[in-house]
Amino acid sequence: MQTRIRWALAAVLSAAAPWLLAAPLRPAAPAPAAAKTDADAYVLRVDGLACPFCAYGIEKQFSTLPAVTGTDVDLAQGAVIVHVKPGARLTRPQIENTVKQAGFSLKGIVSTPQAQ
Amino acid sequence: MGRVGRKILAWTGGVLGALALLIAASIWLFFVPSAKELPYRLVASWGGLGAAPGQFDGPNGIAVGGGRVYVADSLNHRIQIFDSQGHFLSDIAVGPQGLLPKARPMNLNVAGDKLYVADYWNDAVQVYTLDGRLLRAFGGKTGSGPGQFHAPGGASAKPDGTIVVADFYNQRVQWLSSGGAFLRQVGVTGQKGFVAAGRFNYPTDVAVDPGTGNVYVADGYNDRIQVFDAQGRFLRMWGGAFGLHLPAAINFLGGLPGWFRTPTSIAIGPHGDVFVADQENNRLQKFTAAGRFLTAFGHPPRAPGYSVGAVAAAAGGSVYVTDPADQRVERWVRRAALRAPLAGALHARPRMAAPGSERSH
Repeated sequence: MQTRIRWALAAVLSAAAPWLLAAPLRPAAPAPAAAKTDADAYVLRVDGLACPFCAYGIEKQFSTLPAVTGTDVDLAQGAVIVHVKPGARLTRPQIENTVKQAGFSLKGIVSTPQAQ
Repeated sequence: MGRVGRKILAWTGGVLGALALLIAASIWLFFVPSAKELPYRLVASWGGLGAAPGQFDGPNGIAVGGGRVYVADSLNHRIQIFDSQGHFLSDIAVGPQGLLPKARPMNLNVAGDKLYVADYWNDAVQVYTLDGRLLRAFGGKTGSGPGQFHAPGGASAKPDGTIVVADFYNQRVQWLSSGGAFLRQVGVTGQKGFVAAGRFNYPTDVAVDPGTGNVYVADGYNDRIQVFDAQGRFLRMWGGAFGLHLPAAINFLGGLPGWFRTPTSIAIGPHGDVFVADQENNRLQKFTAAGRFLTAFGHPPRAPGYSVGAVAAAAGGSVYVTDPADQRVERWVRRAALRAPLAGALHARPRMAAPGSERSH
């Protein structure tokens, strides 16, 4: 019986082979909600955030920017919330480069600090 | 299309289908091992989110030694020390003779009579006595030179005092003298390697077998374990097919027994067995020193996140695990020895413990 199950699963796997080979490295996280942030924060969507090592790595990298006061990472949502000093702004290349330095790629900027 | 063309097409399709079937069957038969032991049983847990003694915010490392359990409470910037039953004893906090400011201790390891701490935030490695007295500290500044670190994930030591460090962002494992002098490294500094042995893709932790001096590395994003001898020579690797990192396959096959999805911690048991925290699969896996799959166990997280962070194996056989999603520590014990009639029931998926089935305090 167990052998039959194995062969049945093998058949399913073979049918799925083309899909398997075309799959991305890690599944994309759902788009984060932009709501729960303060007025001086960027909400970023970053793919591939999987573990505390990733979260702390990206937080650590953003901490090197003088304008940044803190970073929150929501692993489940794939969201990075970067808090900046009042009135301070980050450029997109700055954000992209920081995310890249942390080993990830920026998928999008969901929201930026509100205009004062 | 003529009749001959249709025949060729049908024949080609048949051959390709058979080939695909053969490959899939081969993967299943040769790279999906059966469990040789029953899953461990969850017997106790403690913790909860908070900053009071016994509570955690990001328990990302654990070690056992001298009858104590050490937990890296990362976001509370401290290491908490408990007895083997989970009663709080003391902590190692930020201070002149403790952790560095903003410390983020990650994986912890006890080797001999010392506790090795990887401080991910400060790029430092610290060595403590088992009662929490600071002996030595290395690093402290981000760097990629010999003896420098860029977010160390875990550190341990050989019986002769040689320190081994998983240097996460530098994509290497460093061997240092007990005084912190650089001895050698495996991996190319700052360059990820995906397939070849001796190359890493964010190494998260190391464990040293005190009997052989062999070094086991959790090669995080390569979803595999690599083993080196005391001099850093490659011995073997496992996780999926031959331990080769097959990115597409990991998405769909990474949950199979013996495969991994981001191993974040590794520990050597009292009999030389290897325990791996298989984080994205929310499970622990146990192997022989040679990499033969023995069993897997765990439970789904009760809160968002992963229910497995780090692992430590006590001399008495208990396995301690951090559960970052639920902000707690768990103790698992081995079930009775496997009897032959049960063997068939153990194949494939790990048994997941039912939430609330253990004793909490």
